Amino acid sequence: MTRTQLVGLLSAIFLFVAIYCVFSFAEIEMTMLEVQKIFYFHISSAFTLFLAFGVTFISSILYLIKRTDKYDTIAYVSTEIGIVFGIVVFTTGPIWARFAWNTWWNWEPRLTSALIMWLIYIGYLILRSTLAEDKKRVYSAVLGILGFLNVPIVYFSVELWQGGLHPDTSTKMNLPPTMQTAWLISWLALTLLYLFLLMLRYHGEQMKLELETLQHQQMGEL
Amino acid sequence: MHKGLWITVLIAFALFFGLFLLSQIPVAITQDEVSTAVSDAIAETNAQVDEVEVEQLVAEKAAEKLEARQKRRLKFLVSAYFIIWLIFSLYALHLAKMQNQLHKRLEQLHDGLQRKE
Repeated sequence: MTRTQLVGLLSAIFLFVAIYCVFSFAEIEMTMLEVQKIFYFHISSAFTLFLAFGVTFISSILYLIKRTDKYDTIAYVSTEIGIVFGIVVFTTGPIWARFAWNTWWNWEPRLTSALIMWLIYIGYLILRSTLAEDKKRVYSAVLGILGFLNVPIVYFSVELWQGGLHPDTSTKMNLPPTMQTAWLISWLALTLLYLFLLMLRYHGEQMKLELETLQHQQMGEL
Repeated sequence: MHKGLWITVLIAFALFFGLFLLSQIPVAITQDEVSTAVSDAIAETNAQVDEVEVEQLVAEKAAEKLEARQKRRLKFLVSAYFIIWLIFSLYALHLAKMQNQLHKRLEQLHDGLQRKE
Protein backbone atom coordinates (compact mmCIF):
# COMPACT_ATOMS: atom_id res chain seq x y z
CA MET A 1 0.00 0.00 0.00
CA THR A 2 1.39 3.40 -0.99
CA ARG A 3 1.49 6.42 1.34
CA THR A 4 -1.31 8.13 -0.64
CA GLN A 5 -3.54 5.04 -0.36
CA LEU A 6 -2.84 4.83 3.38
CA VAL A 7 -3.83 8.47 3.90
CA GLY A 8 -6.91 7.89 1.71
CA LEU A 9 -7.95 4.90 3.80
CA LEU A 10 -7.36 6.81 7.05
CA SER A 11 -9.40 9.77 5.81
CA ALA A 12 -12.27 7.44 4.80
CA ILE A 13 -12.25 5.77 8.24
CA PHE A 14 -12.16 9.12 10.04
CA LEU A 15 -14.95 10.49 7.85
CA PHE A 16 -17.21 7.59 8.85
CA VAL A 17 -16.26 8.02 12.52
CA ALA A 18 -16.92 11.76 12.20
CA ILE A 19 -20.38 11.20 10.69
CA TYR A 20 -21.18 8.71 13.42
CA CYS A 21 -20.06 11.20 16.11
CA VAL A 22 -22.01 14.06 14.55
CA PHE A 23 -25.28 12.13 14.29
CA SER A 24 -25.17 9.70 17.18
CA PHE A 25 -22.66 10.94 19.76
CA ALA A 26 -22.94 14.75 19.82
CA GLU A 27 -25.87 16.08 21.79
CA ILE A 28 -28.60 18.10 20.10
CA GLU A 29 -28.28 21.87 20.39
CA MET A 30 -31.51 23.24 21.84
CA THR A 31 -31.94 26.43 19.78
CA MET A 32 -31.55 25.15 16.23
CA LEU A 33 -32.05 21.45 17.01
CA GLU A 34 -31.00 19.09 14.15
CA VAL A 35 -29.99 21.91 11.78
CA GLN A 36 -27.06 22.80 14.05
CA LYS A 37 -25.40 19.56 12.88
CA ILE A 38 -24.40 21.42 9.69
CA PHE A 39 -21.92 23.26 11.95
CA TYR A 40 -19.50 20.30 12.24
CA PHE A 41 -18.63 20.03 8.56
CA HIS A 42 -19.20 23.70 7.72
CA ILE A 43 -16.71 24.98 10.32
CA SER A 44 -14.27 22.10 9.74
CA SER A 45 -14.30 22.86 5.99
CA ALA A 46 -13.56 26.51 6.76
CA PHE A 47 -10.62 25.53 8.99
CA THR A 48 -9.30 23.12 6.34
CA LEU A 49 -9.63 25.95 3.80
CA PHE A 50 -7.41 28.12 6.04
CA LEU A 51 -4.93 25.23 6.27
CA ALA A 52 -4.89 24.83 2.48
CA PHE A 53 -4.23 28.53 1.93
CA GLY A 54 -1.62 28.38 4.71
CA VAL A 55 0.20 25.64 2.78
CA THR A 56 -0.03 27.82 -0.36
CA PHE A 57 1.48 30.72 1.62
CA ILE A 58 4.43 28.69 2.98
CA SER A 59 5.09 26.93 -0.34
CA SER A 60 5.00 30.26 -2.19
CA ILE A 61 7.59 31.72 0.20
CA LEU A 62 9.77 28.61 -0.20
CA TYR A 63 9.45 28.82 -3.99
CA LEU A 64 10.58 32.47 -4.02
CA ILE A 65 13.57 31.59 -1.81
CA LYS A 66 14.65 28.28 -3.38
CA ARG A 67 13.11 28.52 -6.89
CA THR A 68 12.29 24.79 -6.82
CA ASP A 69 9.32 23.75 -8.98
CA LYS A 70 8.13 21.32 -6.29
CA TYR A 71 7.04 24.20 -4.02
CA ASP A 72 5.23 25.94 -6.85
CA THR A 73 3.31 22.74 -7.62
CA ILE A 74 2.38 22.26 -3.94
CA ALA A 75 1.16 25.88 -3.74
CA TYR A 76 -0.91 25.43 -6.90
CA VAL A 77 -2.58 22.15 -5.95
CA SER A 78 -3.20 23.33 -2.38
CA THR A 79 -4.96 26.44 -3.71
CA GLU A 80 -7.15 24.31 -5.98
CA ILE A 81 -8.17 22.02 -3.10
CA GLY A 82 -8.70 25.05 -0.84
CA ILE A 83 -11.14 26.41 -3.41
CA VAL A 84 -13.05 23.09 -3.36
CA PHE A 85 -13.32 23.35 0.43
CA GLY A 86 -14.44 26.95 -0.12
CA ILE A 87 -17.29 25.70 -2.32
CA VAL A 88 -18.38 23.44 0.56
CA VAL A 89 -18.27 26.39 2.98
CA PHE A 90 -20.18 28.68 0.62
CA THR A 91 -22.94 26.16 -0.08
CA THR A 92 -23.51 24.78 3.42
CA GLY A 93 -23.29 28.27 4.95
CA PRO A 94 -26.29 29.71 3.07
CA ILE A 95 -28.38 26.59 3.84
CA TRP A 96 -27.70 27.08 7.53
CA ALA A 97 -28.18 30.86 7.24
CA ARG A 98 -31.57 30.40 5.57
CA PHE A 99 -32.75 28.50 8.63
CA ALA A 100 -30.98 30.51 11.33
CA TRP A 101 -31.18 34.07 9.93
CA ASN A 102 -34.02 33.59 7.44
CA THR A 103 -31.80 34.73 4.57
CA TRP A 104 -29.45 32.93 2.16
CA TRP A 105 -26.80 35.63 2.25
CA ASN A 106 -25.97 38.70 4.28
CA TRP A 107 -23.21 41.21 3.58
CA GLU A 108 -21.90 40.98 7.13
CA PRO A 109 -18.14 41.13 7.93
CA ARG A 110 -17.35 37.37 8.13
CA LEU A 111 -19.22 36.43 4.95
CA THR A 112 -17.98 39.40 2.94
CA SER A 113 -14.31 38.99 3.95
CA ALA A 114 -14.47 35.21 3.34
CA LEU A 115 -15.92 35.77 -0.13
CA ILE A 116 -13.17 38.29 -0.95
CA MET A 117 -10.53 35.79 0.23
CA TRP A 118 -12.04 33.02 -1.91
CA LEU A 119 -12.19 35.29 -4.97
CA ILE A 120 -8.51 36.24 -4.49
CA TYR A 121 -7.59 32.56 -4.76
CA ILE A 122 -9.86 32.12 -7.80
CA GLY A 123 -7.80 35.01 -9.20
CA TYR A 124 -4.68 33.00 -8.38
CA LEU A 125 -5.86 30.16 -10.63
CA ILE A 126 -6.89 32.57 -13.41
CA LEU A 127 -3.48 34.26 -13.19
CA ARG A 128 -1.71 30.92 -13.57
CA SER A 129 -3.77 29.93 -16.58
CA THR A 130 -3.23 33.21 -18.43
CA LEU A 131 0.47 34.00 -17.83
CA ALA A 132 3.42 32.58 -19.71
CA GLU A 133 5.32 29.66 -18.14
CA ASP A 134 8.30 31.74 -16.94
CA LYS A 135 6.21 34.46 -15.33
CA LYS A 136 3.36 32.48 -13.84
CA ARG A 137 5.34 30.81 -11.06
CA VAL A 138 6.76 34.02 -9.59
CA TYR A 139 3.57 36.09 -10.00
CA SER A 140 1.34 33.40 -8.52
CA ALA A 141 3.77 32.92 -5.60
CA VAL A 142 3.49 36.63 -4.84
CA LEU A 143 -0.31 36.42 -5.00
CA GLY A 144 -0.23 33.27 -2.85
CA ILE A 145 1.61 35.25 -0.16
CA LEU A 146 -0.51 38.40 -0.42
CA GLY A 147 -3.75 36.43 -0.50
CA PHE A 148 -2.96 34.78 2.82
CA LEU A 149 -2.94 38.18 4.54
CA ASN A 150 -6.72 37.98 4.22
CA VAL A 151 -6.99 34.79 6.32
CA PRO A 152 -6.50 36.42 9.77
CA ILE A 153 -8.86 39.21 8.66
CA VAL A 154 -11.56 36.61 7.91
CA TYR A 155 -10.93 34.77 11.18
CA PHE A 156 -11.05 37.89 13.37
CA SER A 157 -13.62 39.78 11.30
CA VAL A 158 -16.32 39.33 13.95
CA GLU A 159 -14.11 40.98 16.58
CA LEU A 160 -12.76 43.61 14.15
CA TRP A 161 -16.15 44.80 12.90
CA GLN A 162 -18.90 44.60 15.45
CA GLY A 163 -22.49 43.94 14.48
CA GLY A 164 -22.04 40.79 12.39
CA LEU A 165 -24.35 37.79 12.50
CA HIS A 166 -21.64 35.17 13.13
CA PRO A 167 -20.71 34.35 16.74
CA ASP A 168 -17.20 35.35 17.91
CA THR A 169 -14.15 33.05 17.74
CA SER A 170 -14.42 31.89 21.38
CA THR A 171 -17.81 30.17 20.82
CA LYS A 172 -16.21 26.94 19.60
CA MET A 173 -14.29 26.61 22.88
CA ASN A 174 -17.47 26.90 24.96
CA LEU A 175 -19.26 23.95 23.33
CA PRO A 176 -20.38 20.97 25.44
CA PRO A 177 -17.75 18.15 25.46
CA THR A 178 -19.67 15.83 23.10
CA MET A 179 -20.10 18.58 20.51
CA GLN A 180 -16.46 19.62 20.84
CA THR A 181 -15.29 16.01 20.34
CA ALA A 182 -17.50 15.58 17.26
CA TRP A 183 -16.21 18.87 15.84
CA LEU A 184 -12.55 17.99 16.44
CA ILE A 185 -12.97 14.54 14.83
CA SER A 186 -14.72 16.13 11.82
CA TRP A 187 -11.88 18.60 11.50
CA LEU A 188 -9.28 15.83 11.69
CA ALA A 189 -11.20 13.80 9.08
CA LEU A 190 -11.36 16.74 6.66
CA THR A 191 -7.69 17.55 7.27
CA LEU A 192 -6.82 13.96 6.32
CA LEU A 193 -9.07 14.25 3.27
CA TYR A 194 -7.24 17.45 2.31
CA LEU A 195 -3.89 15.69 2.71
CA PHE A 196 -5.09 12.77 0.57
CA LEU A 197 -6.35 15.07 -2.19
CA LEU A 198 -3.11 17.09 -2.02
CA MET A 199 -0.98 13.94 -2.48
CA LEU A 200 -3.22 12.67 -5.28
CA ARG A 201 -3.23 16.01 -7.08
CA TYR A 202 0.54 16.47 -6.62
CA HIS A 203 1.11 13.03 -8.12
CA GLY A 204 -1.10 14.05 -11.05
CA GLU A 205 1.00 17.16 -11.65
CA GLN A 206 4.19 15.06 -11.55
CA MET A 207 2.67 12.75 -14.17
CA LYS A 208 1.81 15.76 -16.35
CA LEU A 209 5.41 16.93 -16.10
CA GLU A 210 6.71 13.49 -17.05
CA LEU A 211 4.31 13.41 -19.98
CA GLU A 212 5.51 16.79 -21.22
CA THR A 213 9.16 15.67 -20.95
CA LEU A 214 8.44 12.48 -22.90
CA GLN A 215 6.53 14.42 -25.57
CA HIS A 216 9.49 16.81 -25.97
CA GLN A 217 11.79 13.81 -26.18
CA GLN A 218 9.63 12.23 -28.85
CA MET A 219 9.40 15.48 -30.83
CA GLY A 220 13.18 15.87 -30.62
CA GLU A 221 13.66 12.46 -32.13
CA LEU A 222 11.35 13.21 -35.08
CA MET B 1 -11.54 -5.50 -8.51
CA HIS B 2 -12.11 -2.74 -11.07
CA LYS B 3 -11.66 0.82 -9.73
CA GLY B 4 -15.12 1.93 -10.87
CA LEU B 5 -16.67 -0.99 -9.02
CA TRP B 6 -14.78 -0.03 -5.86
CA ILE B 7 -16.10 3.52 -6.12
CA THR B 8 -19.67 2.25 -6.68
CA VAL B 9 -19.43 -0.08 -3.68
CA LEU B 10 -18.02 2.74 -1.53
CA ILE B 11 -20.72 5.22 -2.62
CA ALA B 12 -23.47 2.63 -1.98
CA PHE B 13 -22.01 1.88 1.44
CA ALA B 14 -21.72 5.59 2.27
CA LEU B 15 -25.33 6.13 1.16
CA PHE B 16 -26.72 3.32 3.31
CA PHE B 17 -24.52 4.34 6.23
CA GLY B 18 -25.78 7.92 5.90
CA LEU B 19 -29.41 6.78 5.74
CA PHE B 20 -28.87 4.58 8.78
CA LEU B 21 -27.38 7.48 10.72
CA LEU B 22 -30.20 9.78 9.70
CA SER B 23 -32.67 7.25 11.08
CA GLN B 24 -30.72 7.35 14.35
CA ILE B 25 -31.35 11.08 14.95
CA PRO B 26 -33.42 11.32 18.10
CA VAL B 27 -36.57 13.42 17.97
CA ALA B 28 -35.80 16.49 20.00
CA ILE B 29 -38.61 18.84 20.92
CA THR B 30 -38.16 21.74 23.30
CA GLN B 31 -40.78 23.32 25.54
CA ASP B 32 -40.66 26.48 23.40
CA GLU B 33 -41.35 24.46 20.25
CA VAL B 34 -44.40 22.83 21.85
CA SER B 35 -45.73 26.16 23.19
CA THR B 36 -45.30 27.86 19.80
CA ALA B 37 -46.97 24.98 17.98
CA VAL B 38 -49.89 24.92 20.46
CA SER B 39 -50.44 28.69 20.33
CA ASP B 40 -50.22 28.65 16.51
CA ALA B 41 -52.73 25.81 16.41
CA ILE B 42 -55.12 27.64 18.78
CA ALA B 43 -54.92 30.77 16.65
CA GLU B 44 -55.71 28.79 13.48
CA THR B 45 -58.54 26.65 14.92
CA ASN B 46 -62.03 28.02 14.21
CA ALA B 47 -64.09 25.11 15.52
CA GLN B 48 -67.27 26.16 17.36
CA VAL B 49 -67.79 22.98 19.37
CA ASP B 50 -67.43 21.79 22.91
CA GLU B 51 -64.14 22.10 24.81
CA VAL B 52 -63.16 18.43 24.56
CA GLU B 53 -63.44 18.54 20.80
CA VAL B 54 -61.54 21.83 20.69
CA GLU B 55 -58.75 20.35 22.79
CA GLN B 56 -58.56 17.32 20.52
CA LEU B 57 -58.44 19.48 17.40
CA VAL B 58 -55.78 21.68 18.94
CA ALA B 59 -53.70 18.64 19.91
CA GLU B 60 -53.97 17.21 16.37
CA LYS B 61 -53.07 20.53 14.81
CA ALA B 62 -50.15 20.98 17.24
CA ALA B 63 -48.82 17.51 16.38
CA GLU B 64 -49.06 18.36 12.67
CA LYS B 65 -47.18 21.61 13.25
CA LEU B 66 -44.43 19.86 15.23
CA GLU B 67 -44.04 17.28 12.50
CA ALA B 68 -43.91 19.97 9.82
CA ARG B 69 -41.26 21.89 11.74
CA GLN B 70 -39.11 18.83 12.16
CA LYS B 71 -39.50 17.94 8.49
CA ARG B 72 -38.32 21.44 7.59
CA ARG B 73 -35.27 21.14 9.86
CA LEU B 74 -34.34 17.74 8.44
CA LYS B 75 -34.74 19.09 4.91
CA PHE B 76 -32.05 21.70 5.63
CA LEU B 77 -29.78 19.15 7.31
CA VAL B 78 -30.06 16.55 4.55
CA SER B 79 -29.56 19.17 1.80
CA ALA B 80 -26.36 20.43 3.45
CA TYR B 81 -24.87 16.96 3.90
CA PHE B 82 -25.92 15.88 0.43
CA ILE B 83 -24.14 18.88 -1.07
CA ILE B 84 -20.98 18.29 1.00
CA TRP B 85 -20.63 14.71 -0.25
CA LEU B 86 -21.63 15.62 -3.77
CA ILE B 87 -18.85 18.24 -4.01
CA PHE B 88 -16.17 15.95 -2.57
CA SER B 89 -17.31 12.98 -4.67
CA LEU B 90 -17.36 15.00 -7.90
CA TYR B 91 -13.90 16.39 -7.21
CA ALA B 92 -12.52 12.93 -6.32
CA LEU B 93 -14.05 11.42 -9.48
CA HIS B 94 -12.62 14.29 -11.56
CA LEU B 95 -9.15 13.58 -10.09
CA ALA B 96 -9.48 9.83 -10.67
CA LYS B 97 -10.53 10.41 -14.30
CA MET B 98 -7.66 12.84 -14.88
CA GLN B 99 -5.12 10.41 -13.35
CA ASN B 100 -6.40 7.55 -15.50
CA GLN B 101 -6.11 9.59 -18.70
CA LEU B 102 -2.59 10.72 -17.79
CA HIS B 103 -1.60 7.17 -16.94
CA LYS B 104 -2.91 5.88 -20.30
CA ARG B 105 -1.10 8.60 -22.27
CA LEU B 106 2.12 7.96 -20.37
CA GLU B 107 1.93 4.24 -21.13
CA GLN B 108 1.28 4.97 -24.83
CA LEU B 109 4.30 7.29 -24.98
CA HIS B 110 6.53 4.80 -23.18
CA ASP B 111 5.44 2.05 -25.59
CA GLY B 112 6.06 4.33 -28.58
CA LEU B 113 9.55 5.22 -27.37
CA GLN B 114 10.41 1.58 -26.63
CA ARG B 115 9.31 0.49 -30.09
CA LYS B 116 11.57 3.13 -31.68
CA GLU B 117 14.53 1.95 -29.63
